[in-house]
Amino acid sequence: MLKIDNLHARVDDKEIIKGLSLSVKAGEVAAIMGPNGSGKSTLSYVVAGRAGYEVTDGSISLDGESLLDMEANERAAKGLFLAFQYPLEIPGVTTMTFLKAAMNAQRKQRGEAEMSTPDFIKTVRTAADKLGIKQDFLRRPLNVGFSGGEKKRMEVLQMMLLQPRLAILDETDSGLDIDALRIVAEGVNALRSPDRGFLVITHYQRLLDYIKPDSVHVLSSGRIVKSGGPELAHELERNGYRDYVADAA
Amino acid sequence: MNASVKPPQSPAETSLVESFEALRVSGVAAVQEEAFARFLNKGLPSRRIEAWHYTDLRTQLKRAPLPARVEAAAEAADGAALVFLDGALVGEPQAPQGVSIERATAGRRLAAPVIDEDDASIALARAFSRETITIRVEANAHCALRFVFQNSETAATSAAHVIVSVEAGASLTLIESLDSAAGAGHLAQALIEFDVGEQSKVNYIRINSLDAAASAVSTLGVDLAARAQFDTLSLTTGAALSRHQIFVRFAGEHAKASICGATLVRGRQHADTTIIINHAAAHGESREVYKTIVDDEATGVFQGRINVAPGAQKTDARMASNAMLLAEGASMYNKPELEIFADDVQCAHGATCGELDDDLLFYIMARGLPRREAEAMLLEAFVAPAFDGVEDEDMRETLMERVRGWLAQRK
Ligand SMILES: Nc1ncnc2c1ncn2[C@@H]1O[C@H](COP(=O)(O)OP(=O)(O)OP(=O)(O)O)[C@@H](O)[C@H]1O
Ligand SMILES: [Mg+2]
Repeated sequence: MLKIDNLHARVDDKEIIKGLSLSVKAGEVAAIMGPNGSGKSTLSYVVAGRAGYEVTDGSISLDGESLLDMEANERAAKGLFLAFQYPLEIPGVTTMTFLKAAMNAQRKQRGEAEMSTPDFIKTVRTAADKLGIKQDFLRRPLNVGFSGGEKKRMEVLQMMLLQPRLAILDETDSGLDIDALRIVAEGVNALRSPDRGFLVITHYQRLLDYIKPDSVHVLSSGRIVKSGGPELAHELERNGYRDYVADAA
Repeated sequence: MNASVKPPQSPAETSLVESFEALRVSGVAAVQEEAFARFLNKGLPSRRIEAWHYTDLRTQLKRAPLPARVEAAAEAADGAALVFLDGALVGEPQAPQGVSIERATAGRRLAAPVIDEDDASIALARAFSRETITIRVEANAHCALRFVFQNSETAATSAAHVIVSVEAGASLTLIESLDSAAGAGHLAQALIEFDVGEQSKVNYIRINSLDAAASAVSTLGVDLAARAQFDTLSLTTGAALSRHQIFVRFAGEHAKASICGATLVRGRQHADTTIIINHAAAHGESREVYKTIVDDEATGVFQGRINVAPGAQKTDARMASNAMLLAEGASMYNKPELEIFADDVQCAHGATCGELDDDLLFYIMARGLPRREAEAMLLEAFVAPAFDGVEDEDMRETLMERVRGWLAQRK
């Protein structure tokens, strides 16, 4: 469903993604691991359509449709979701208002009717309960003053509500305590389905114990340098990246 | 250069002379003549005058239309509304319980005026005011009033002068709206003076949605007695050229004022808010929160000055003006000033001028909101704190609705 082919992308005139190819099939959970600064977040931004990230070569498509000429919101409406490594704070916009605006904006772009307010509130409350998010967080401005872990849970809440086709989770596990990690992983697992794909970026095998990946890819210096099954994550956990970093250098 | 050598009349000044002559035909009072002479002596304020540095009326005001002909409009005012058509009060308004409304020929003054009579724009407003409307809210009365300033299809130079005297222990909620017909290049002037008595309370909301062809020059003067409270908010989206100046004097101790506003301008609009707060008595508390959004090639001006007199100990004064520029060609002049002559005071001011945050926009767009909607979400949140002091929730929603309406019209 997600197909990235020979992608080259630059930020501020610096090439960061250098010929990256990767595909995620419907129903698949693909994990990306890689050293700090290797380009994982950059890849997620390029796929999500952040302005200023210039694709100089290659292609990205979702369900066979090229994403490159689409604005970030159009990609979202097509079913792409990015859980940010560093979720942003939006002063003055309550979480509830934000969630409603996001859901309705996507529905509108897909030509669907808006959700009624009671239905919306019920849906949000149920999802928040599952993730152990207290109701009063929903009345606070989005992410403002939230702890790192609380922000990550909020990202997962948004994913649960938006029901994407393809979700990219950029280090959603970092900053989470042990219980939160399990809760968040359960949230992701509950969304797993034959027609939904996940791209899970992580540094730790531990998350992958909960969310069992179908494939594991090593990203180094802007390219996928190794792909394998779940056992690759274990190998990385033991040996680190030295083999792959050396390869890329 | 000899200071008494005046520059030649600008086209706007020439048209003001013509306009005043037309006014004379239907009769003007001696005080109007005297005010016009004072105006002529100074001419329209130009950038050479410090208080007008960013709004050069002399050159920016292109032309002043003739005054409207005095025909008593038959239109009845509804409820407790004072309807002014081209500056003239329409009909005989019904005064609510505890309120008296008196019409007198022009020229009334507050016992202790707080506005700057040296300001030529004020002299001009006095010259064009045919009458002074005096509204008195009796001691301990609680009431609500509306001022509806309408301007007709034909452009006119007009002025209204209103004195509102709120006696001890009374409270007044006043909502003022300014509108004009599309495309009419009015010059709408207003001079509104408040005498806020001891322990009385005023809540004054002003919505300027004049047409983008009109010009508006207005002055608000507020004199606060002991323990008086004056809260005002103005929302400005209208007029090609607007200047709203506010003078507040803390004459009695323990008085409070909150002067807030939101200004949203686009195209080639120019909107100036100038505030002078004089803390002349101890224990005063003043707050200003101004939010300005400037799009296209528009210009925003905020000048705010807080003066604390030697005796005004324990003054607590805070002023914040934040502006958001949405386009390359947009400009903002943001100038807060403090002048403190008392040692035991708390004063702070802050002015910022920024642009929308790209990272935040991306985050919101990545959740599915189109760019303009994402921007509107951030801009609404930017403006909202200016309305925090509005206690009436419906009114706050009305104001926000107007902001949303403005945002929705962005190209
Ligand atoms: N705006 C930018 N200008 C220049 N270089 C940038 C910019 N943004 C990112 N980079 C560089 O691109 C490289 C990849 O950054 P990226 O954030 O994608 O790494 P990452 O793999 O997500 O790392 P981490 O594991 O620490 O999250 C880094 O060397 C970073 O410094
Ligand atoms: Mg990263």
